[in-house]
Amino acid sequence: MRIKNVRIHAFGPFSDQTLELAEGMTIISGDNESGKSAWHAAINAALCGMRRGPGQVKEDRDFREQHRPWGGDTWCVEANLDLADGRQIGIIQDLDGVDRRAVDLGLGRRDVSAEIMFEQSPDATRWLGLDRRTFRATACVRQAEILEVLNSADALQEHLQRAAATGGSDQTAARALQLINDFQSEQIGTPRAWTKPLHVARGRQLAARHNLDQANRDHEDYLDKFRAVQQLKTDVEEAEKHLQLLTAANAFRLAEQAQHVADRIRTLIGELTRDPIDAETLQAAMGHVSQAIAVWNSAPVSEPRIGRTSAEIERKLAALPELPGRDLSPSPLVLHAEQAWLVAKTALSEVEGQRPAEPATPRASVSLLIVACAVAVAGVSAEYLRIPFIATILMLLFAGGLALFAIRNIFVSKLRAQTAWQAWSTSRARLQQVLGDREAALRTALVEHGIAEVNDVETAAQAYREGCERRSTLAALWREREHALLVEGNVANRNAAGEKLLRAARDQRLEATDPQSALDALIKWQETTRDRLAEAHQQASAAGELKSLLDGRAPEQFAEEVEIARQNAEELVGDLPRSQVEAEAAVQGLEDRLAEAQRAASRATEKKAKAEGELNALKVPDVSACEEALAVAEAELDRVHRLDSTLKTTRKFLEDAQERVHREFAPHLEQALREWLPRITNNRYTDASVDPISLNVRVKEASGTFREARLLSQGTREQIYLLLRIALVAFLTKPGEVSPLIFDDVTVQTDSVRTDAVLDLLHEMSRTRQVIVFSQEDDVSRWAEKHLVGKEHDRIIRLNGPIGVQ
Amino acid sequence: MKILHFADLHLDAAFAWARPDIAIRRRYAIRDTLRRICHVAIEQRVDLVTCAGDLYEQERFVPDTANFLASSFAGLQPIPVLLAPGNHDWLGPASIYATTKWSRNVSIFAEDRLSAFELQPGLIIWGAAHCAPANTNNFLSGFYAGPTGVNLALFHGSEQSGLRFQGEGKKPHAPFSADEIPRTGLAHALLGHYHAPIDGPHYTYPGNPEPLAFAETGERGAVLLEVGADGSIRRQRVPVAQTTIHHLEVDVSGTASSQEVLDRIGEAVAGKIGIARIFVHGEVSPSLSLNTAVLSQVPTDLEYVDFRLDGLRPAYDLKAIRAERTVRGQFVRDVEAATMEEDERRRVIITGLRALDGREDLEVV
Repeated sequence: MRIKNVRIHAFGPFSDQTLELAEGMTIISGDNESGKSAWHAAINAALCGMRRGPGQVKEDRDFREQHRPWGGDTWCVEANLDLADGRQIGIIQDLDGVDRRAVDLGLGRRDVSAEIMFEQSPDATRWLGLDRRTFRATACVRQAEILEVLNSADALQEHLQRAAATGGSDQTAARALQLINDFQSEQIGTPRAWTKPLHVARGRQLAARHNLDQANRDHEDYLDKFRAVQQLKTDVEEAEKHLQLLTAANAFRLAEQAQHVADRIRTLIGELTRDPIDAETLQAAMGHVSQAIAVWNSAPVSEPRIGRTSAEIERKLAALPELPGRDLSPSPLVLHAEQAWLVAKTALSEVEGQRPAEPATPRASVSLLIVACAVAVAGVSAEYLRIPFIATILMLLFAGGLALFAIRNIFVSKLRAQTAWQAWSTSRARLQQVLGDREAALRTALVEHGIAEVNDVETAAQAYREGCERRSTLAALWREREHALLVEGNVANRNAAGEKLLRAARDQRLEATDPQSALDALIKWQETTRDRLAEAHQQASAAGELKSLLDGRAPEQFAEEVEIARQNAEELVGDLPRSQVEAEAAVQGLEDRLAEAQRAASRATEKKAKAEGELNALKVPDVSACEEALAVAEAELDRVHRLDSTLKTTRKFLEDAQERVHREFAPHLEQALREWLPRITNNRYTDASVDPISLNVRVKEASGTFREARLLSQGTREQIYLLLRIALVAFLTKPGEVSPLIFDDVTVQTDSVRTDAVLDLLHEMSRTRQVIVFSQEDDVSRWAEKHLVGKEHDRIIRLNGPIGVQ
Repeated sequence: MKILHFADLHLDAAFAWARPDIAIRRRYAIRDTLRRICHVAIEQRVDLVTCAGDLYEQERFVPDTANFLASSFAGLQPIPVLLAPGNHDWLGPASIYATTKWSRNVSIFAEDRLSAFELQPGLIIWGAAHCAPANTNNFLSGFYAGPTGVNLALFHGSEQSGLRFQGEGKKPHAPFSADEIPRTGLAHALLGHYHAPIDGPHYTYPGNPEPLAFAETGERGAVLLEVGADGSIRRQRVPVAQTTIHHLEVDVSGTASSQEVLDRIGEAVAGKIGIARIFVHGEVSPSLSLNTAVLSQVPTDLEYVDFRLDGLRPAYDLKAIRAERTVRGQFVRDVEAATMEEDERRRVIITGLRALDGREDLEVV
């Protein structure tokens, strides 16, 4: 691309001026305020236009502020270009208005703006593969940028990195990566950074998942309870159906029973409509008659009277004295006491007759003793008697034995006599005691039986027996009297009973002339009356039953009730199978079963109500809402994950791109420096290297030592920067095109020798690409006068400010 | 004979795409739709109302739903209502079908094989129920309705040829093929399961009457069928949805500010009510950072708007950048050459370019 000319319609202080540029190198010089910067900006604006629309940056705003027309004319510049493909382009940039377009002059000014529209304005550097920002950052080198490199040791490397990243228009790739890291740290964070979105989103997703799981479980629980309640409802329905069946059966049976009662009432009423019998009167008459007959039957038939009358006997009794005592016959008690006394008395007499002799010494024994004594004396006297000694001894022994025998007999006899005496005495005393006791008993018995004074019990007993005999005779009289009185009474009673019978017969209007005929008539009457009474009782029973059945109601009212009961039963039967109802009604114990069914229904209802209460108390979860909350949480987590993935992928691609481009960039820059730096520095620096990772530049001194470019002198840094910019332009420009180079005071820090060398280099380059140099330096002007004057492809332009151009 | 047929109402369904308040409103809208169906049934004096399953969702229903259904159908008396449980409302001991005291006009098919309901002499509705949430077999397998009378079927099943039109995730419950219907002696099958309506020659899928998702934008609702004495069918679709779902595309290319984007979207939704999913696409300035918070400022009468910004392209000149010999150019080239999903590629490129621009708004919606 070559810029043929630039025309300012109005731009800063300029209006209606044109700058014709050389095909090769153009040196535009001028003093301060001559308009170099304005023209530099105008060329830039004509070529690249301005970003339009929103998002303008400070640079755009500064540009507007700095270069708006001073005179208020239309802010417009235009340029004519030659492209490498041979096209001649006219480009108009109405920087405030809408007339922004590029036209192909060779094709009748056909609008080719679409080929180069960038940020809503035509940008001719697009044909170079650049844009207005990268062009400004590379091919259009301004003094301010040189100063930046000079003021900051790292600016050179950063500029290279920026150029490598975005053609110098924006951030470095490192800064972009830092931005991504910062953004990722802030907007995603690590799983453990609890305040960061990733952790928060995970927590919310887990909570939402938990809530949904819980909601599902609760819903299942609800369904279980719901199912249970439904089963209980079924149970209640069945229980109620059964109850309904039994209720209907009961009502059916009650209605039937009521109907039976109604039938019975009708029967009773029919019975009661016949002649009523006065059962009470009849019963009273029956009573009188029965009584009369009973009296007659109980009255003894009178016997023929024999003997004396009662009156006669009473008269005889009145003549007899009253006898002491009371007994009509002797009392066995008295007789027994008397007998006992007599036995005791006899026994005592017998004992008295058996009295033993007094105890005494037996005479035989005494005699023997005497004999013994005699023998003994004889023995003792034997010497004298001349009795042999043995005879003496025998005699003495005999006397002794005899004496002992006699003594023993005496004692035995004495003991026997004494024993017999004592036994008799004892028996006698005992019998005496018995006799005394029995006498006392007899005495007592006699007193008790009316004998007032008893001196001698034997006499008194005799008197008692005699008294009893007399009183017995008197008692027989009394008995006779009483019998007489009885016979006389029976006759009277029999007569009275007969009278009563006759009266009763008359009362019943029966014909009777005597008691017997009256009795017969009355018995017959009784039989008839008994039937009547039975009939009366039947009537009374019917009336009672009727009264009981009606229970205070009129028969019509009862009939109505029966009808109501029937209707009620029919209603209760309803749609129930009648045969089933009738079958249930026929089964025994219906009331018990009905009561049990009521209890069962009540239990089932109660159970159901309880279960329903529990079910209603349950908070039924909104599963859908929980699913939606989970969806929101998962969407947020997905968003964070997606963002995380996007950032990681972006970072990876950026890192890879950075590495790759830097590796491509570095050799190209090295080559440019290697070629141009020795010329400019007069072989002070013979070689250069560019780190492919960091794009750090080092230059090699003639001594062979490599030095960091950022640590060199300002002038050398300025020159290296200039060379790198030229190399960058060549690198970034689209193959097949050549970008013009526009420099604004880029050799400020360069000495005269190196300035010449730089200008020589640029002049050499201008053979293949257009070079435009703005400068106020005398060295540049002098070099231009020396090298450019008269050259067909070069031009020197002297600016005189807004007045004009030379 | 007039039959009002519907299916797939999905009472108590979850709306994962909606905010909680919108989700609740959607669930009530479904209830209103059933009321509307009942109203149509009375208004049209139909002879029968049928529902081919997925009336509600067993795993999500709340007690109130049973009462609502019972009272809604009771209000149709004496019009008979035939219900054939589906896979979402499968018939079990705890299902609403089994535990609710229904009015006399409601009949529920309770067997997992076709059983008869004689609507009138010579017109039999054969219905079946899903008795489990899955693995229900073909109801038509081994079935023959008989040679006489008009025989209709009512069940929840998947006509196999239509499955591919029902979107991803649709499972083939009780699968059958369309040719089985005439072969089994059935004049027509009143079906449910497919949310996209289908008017087949021998069967009718009414579609879900109230949209549940954004993809369900077609004409759907209840179907009014007139059944001739010879078994012929005339169908008329009756819209009953309470909510219209809009599927809008808005090109915001050339807009220079978010306000302009909002204005352009506002023009697209002007006068619309219901729910909309708006696909915003076009190229906008790279400096324009649009997100849901900004887009929610669109003035609208819509109940809910779901924005899809996948088609939004920041106006990076990727062609030019791609040609750059810079890290940026290399980055774009590498990402474009890499194997990844297009949406991920879009986000990576924009994120990288924004980072290289020095921007801090690196999240790309």
